[in-house]
Amino acid sequence: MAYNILIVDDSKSMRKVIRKIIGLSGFKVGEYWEAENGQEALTLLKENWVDLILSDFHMPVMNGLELLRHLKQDESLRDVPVVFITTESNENRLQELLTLGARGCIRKPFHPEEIRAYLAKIMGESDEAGMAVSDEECDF
Amino acid sequence: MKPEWLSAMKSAISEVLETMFFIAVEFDHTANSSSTPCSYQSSIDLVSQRQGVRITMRFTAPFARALSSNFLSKDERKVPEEELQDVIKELTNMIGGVFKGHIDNGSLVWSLGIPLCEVPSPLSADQEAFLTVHFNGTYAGDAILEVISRVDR
Repeated sequence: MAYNILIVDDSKSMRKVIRKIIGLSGFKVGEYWEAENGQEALTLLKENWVDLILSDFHMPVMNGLELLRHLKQDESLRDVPVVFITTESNENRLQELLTLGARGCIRKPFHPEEIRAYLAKIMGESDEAGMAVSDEECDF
Repeated sequence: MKPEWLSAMKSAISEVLETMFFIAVEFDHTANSSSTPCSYQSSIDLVSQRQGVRITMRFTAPFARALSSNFLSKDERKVPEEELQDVIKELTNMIGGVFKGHIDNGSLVWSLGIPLCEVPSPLSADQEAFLTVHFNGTYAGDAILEVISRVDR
């Protein structure tokens, strides 16, 4: 099964890096969507289905916490897994995200293996299933 | 300026550069005596109930290009200017986040701002703390830490 993934981060270069890591790790991806902030992500989600959201926390316009609150209030979106990739380290804030329903938090800076392992765990895939190498090209 | 904050800065810069940029740097506290100016600068603010701190990162063009090349796994000659600036901003963002993690001690709640790109400015005499960053023995830039606001109680 190929997953559609939404990457939400106000840094274009970080979105590229995350996308590249996912592509090279063998995770099966159907479509990638990108948004600069929570508001853009919500607009995108009105028209497109995603299986996983990877989001930053600190973003202008609408931050990751507000995005998560909106998602959980929407019956059609509340079950989409959300994983935060963030510089936020405050335990209370991270716990607030988990309490609201985030599936996990990956702290920046991160090793590529952290993303791969986390996504495999959340999406229920394992190395033994033999993930296919994606067609994601190395050239950005 | 707490002495341990300078140590926290070094630790934060090293952790971010080594983890996501695959670069190890050295630090000292002497002003840049090389002729290479800094061409890129980004800053980020941390604010608590009592004070605000600004982290400013300044880099030479060759080092900035090396950073962006490593981060994006891309030939540095193929990194557009806009993308390079975004990389520097994100680097500053991550350094700010790791630094915040080091200085968070529970008594003060720190909030991290949004990183900004700026026109590089020379070091000023009243900047409380700075580190000179070197890569492979060559001047690469500066890390500046300054208190931007203080609440008297």
